[in-house]
Amino acid sequence: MTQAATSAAVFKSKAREALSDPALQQAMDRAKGGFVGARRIAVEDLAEFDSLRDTARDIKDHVLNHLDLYLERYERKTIENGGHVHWAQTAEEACQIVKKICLDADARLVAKGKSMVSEEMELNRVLEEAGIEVAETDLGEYIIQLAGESPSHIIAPAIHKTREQITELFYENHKSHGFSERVTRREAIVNEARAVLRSVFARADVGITGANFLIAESGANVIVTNEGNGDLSSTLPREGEVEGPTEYHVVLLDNGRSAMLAGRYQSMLRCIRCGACLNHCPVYSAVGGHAYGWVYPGPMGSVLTPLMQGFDRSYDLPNACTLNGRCNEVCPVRIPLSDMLRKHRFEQYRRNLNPWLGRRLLSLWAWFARRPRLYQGIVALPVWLMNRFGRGQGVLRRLPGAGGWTGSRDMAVPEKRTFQVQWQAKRDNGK
Amino acid sequence: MTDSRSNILQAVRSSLDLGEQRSASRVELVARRISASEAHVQPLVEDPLIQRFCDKHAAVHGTYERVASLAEVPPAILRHLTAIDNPKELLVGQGELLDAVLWPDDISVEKRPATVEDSVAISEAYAGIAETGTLVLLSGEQRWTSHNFLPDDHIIILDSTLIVRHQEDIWMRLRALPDGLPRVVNLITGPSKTADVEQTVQYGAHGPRRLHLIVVEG
Amino acid sequence: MSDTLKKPTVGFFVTCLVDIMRPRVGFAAVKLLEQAGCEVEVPRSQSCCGQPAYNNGDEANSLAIAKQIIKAFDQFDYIVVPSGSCAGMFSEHFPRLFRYDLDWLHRAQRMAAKTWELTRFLVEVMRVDSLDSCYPAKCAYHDSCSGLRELGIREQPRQLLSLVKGLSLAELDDRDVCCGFGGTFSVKYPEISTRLVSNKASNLEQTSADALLGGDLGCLLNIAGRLRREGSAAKVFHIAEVLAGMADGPGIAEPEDEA
Repeated sequence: MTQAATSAAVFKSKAREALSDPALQQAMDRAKGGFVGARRIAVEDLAEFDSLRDTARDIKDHVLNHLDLYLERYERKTIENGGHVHWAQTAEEACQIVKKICLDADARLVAKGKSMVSEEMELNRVLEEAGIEVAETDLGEYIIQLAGESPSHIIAPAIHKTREQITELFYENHKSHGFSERVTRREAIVNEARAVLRSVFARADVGITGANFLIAESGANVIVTNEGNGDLSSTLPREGEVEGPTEYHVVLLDNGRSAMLAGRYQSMLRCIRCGACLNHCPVYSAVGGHAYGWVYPGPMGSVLTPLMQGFDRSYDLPNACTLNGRCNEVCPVRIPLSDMLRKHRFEQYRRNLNPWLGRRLLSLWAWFARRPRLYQGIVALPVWLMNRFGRGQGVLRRLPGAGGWTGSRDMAVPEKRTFQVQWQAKRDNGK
Repeated sequence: MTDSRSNILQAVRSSLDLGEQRSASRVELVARRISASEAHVQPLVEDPLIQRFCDKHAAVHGTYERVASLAEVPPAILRHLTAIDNPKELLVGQGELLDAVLWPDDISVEKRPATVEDSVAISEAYAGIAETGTLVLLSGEQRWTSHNFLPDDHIIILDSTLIVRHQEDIWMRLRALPDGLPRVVNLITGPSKTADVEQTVQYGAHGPRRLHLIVVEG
Repeated sequence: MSDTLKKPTVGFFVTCLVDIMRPRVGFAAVKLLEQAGCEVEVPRSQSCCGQPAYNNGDEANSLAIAKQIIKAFDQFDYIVVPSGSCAGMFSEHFPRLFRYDLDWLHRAQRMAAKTWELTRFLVEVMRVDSLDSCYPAKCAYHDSCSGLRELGIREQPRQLLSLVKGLSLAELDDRDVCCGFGGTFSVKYPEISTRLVSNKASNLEQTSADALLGGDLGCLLNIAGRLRREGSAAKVFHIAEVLAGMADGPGIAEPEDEA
């Protein structure tokens, strides 16, 4: 079991830690202004946004339904352009392919643009074990690389870091680059990172990026960035050379995606990794990305992790969701995320992965719910008990078995008789 | 053959439940769709295009100047270099307009790839996109992509007649290029930026801190 | 104009929470429906819409409960529910449950087409344009997620509240963010649920509203429970109680004897 997979099994304890981590809470709070507020303004500015979502969904669905043909065309065009295409069924295979390319190129230093697929593959570890230095150049990825952490957001990997934490990281790690002062202002932090990473771009032997899109028509790859590090990683020549990169390799990774094409999870493959679902998920906002235990957090991670890492290793993810549906509303390609999480719950039930007690209680409840007359009889008991314990207070501060609720919330005390009982009594008395 | 490539393609096909795998109708469908290159929903972009383009560029922290002729370009560059307190030296890329510029003695120009030491480069854009305020730059002989990313300051010169309305219009034109696509097509919208520190935008992450546009209308 | 219009018949689905935890909400809803001109019946053969089974992956029980409800409510012109989540269960999810069973699918679709959440029913079907209730207080309205996103309920309750004399409405910040109830989520992930409901409580405090109203008792029990624990004086009612002029007693999670 990989380190990542074990982590996915400890969602509850990590979530608890996250909720009482003031630095994280402060950082997550700050993120909302941009990701939620600025997005809303941009959407309001674009009258066609909803139709564009339909179009985007349709384009992705069409390509997915003919993925074999598009892949073949993409490969053909890339080769025509002088590139190489490699196919990898598993993450490990993909890592070995990249490692071989780097070793064959006598690479000592790799400049990396941000790539979630490379995180999924755990590529850095494999290259470093082979003696190759890997330098993340996206500012957020660079920060977490210094911290020895994994990304907690698919767009803003260091979203969980406060400015103070970044200052310390730079102070500890930049001395060898000739920086001996603590930089605290944001502008100065960015400038220092810029200066340090410039030498990486200049010295790198190999550049590695992901791709936001691969274009079958022309064999092009598209990256969409803000910083410029992706371009600098993929267009500069090697030190001493004049033109650009002399070799171009594309590694296509499957890692379970072709299986997802079959049936009910296919629309998850439309995902363009924009992060909107994370940004609008109240659970993600409360606990941050690391609680999810793998590289994909939030709603999209809760859908993907069980599919890619196994249902038995990620029980909590589909369940730690209120099914509020805000993610569906903001997904640009209309993935029915909360429906998929519910589907996961059906799968878990089928595989008997639920905690024993919860399942028994639910079965007991359902036995009565299916027999309304008996149900109406039996609920008189908890109603009576709650009234007894409540003793006219209107609320219960403690309720045996309901510590999850009463630990932090009062529980209302019911009226003495249920609606059905009162309604029937009224009818029997001729109203 | 059971290599990864075949395995993956086979897995894709069986997931899609394709009875006849590479049926003529499917192949035809995909080929037609690619060659038809139909535009989909396009946002409303109103005239006048040049001002819309410049406004969009300014909204992403870009600066610009509209000039009436090629002769006004060197003074515009000088003004910009003074404004950013820069020595009067810059790297120049290839382009119809740039090749025709008469450089005055007080600006020193070099035609070579950029290094981390260079502070200003000027490139000529292939086109501009009014929809988003985007500049389109193509790599090529003496059009080094490093000019677009290494220097602190990037100046882009654009013939105003090359401003198109929508993103799709660029791809239509690029498809018609006699030699096909160049290695790199950069769609540049404003200077380099990051919000990785406290979710607050800072400019000049790795690419240019400032992007100055000179729109030539004569 | 047609001759003697027959009163529309309404099968009232109480919901388990209203039935057990706060029956007066049910009586308020029935009063509103009768005042609006409906003939209301409450089928005895109802317990719960089945969400606890459905949202925990128990397909067999979800189907069994759904079939029972569909049978019990078959004969009415309308099925009205004082809850966005239960109404959504009928109108959005019952048809999905039966997608492989054509007979039941048709019956589920028929039921779905007749199912209405209370405030939508009063506004869009019965076109209620006056109420003789008054509630002179500053109120904030909580939009439950399923009502909002599955059923498009946002303006309708506000429209009804504008008919209540003396009532002024304030809007919560982050009003489209979940309160953290989510059914069994609230007890399975209590710390996260508590964080979300605390945020909601502080949103309410910022409006200085006297009362919080809503259309889903699950959300309201959650929010009221937190408000009481935090010592807040804000009252919490189901919107039906205010609209029916039955909000003069204790609010949710308040003792019976307190005025």
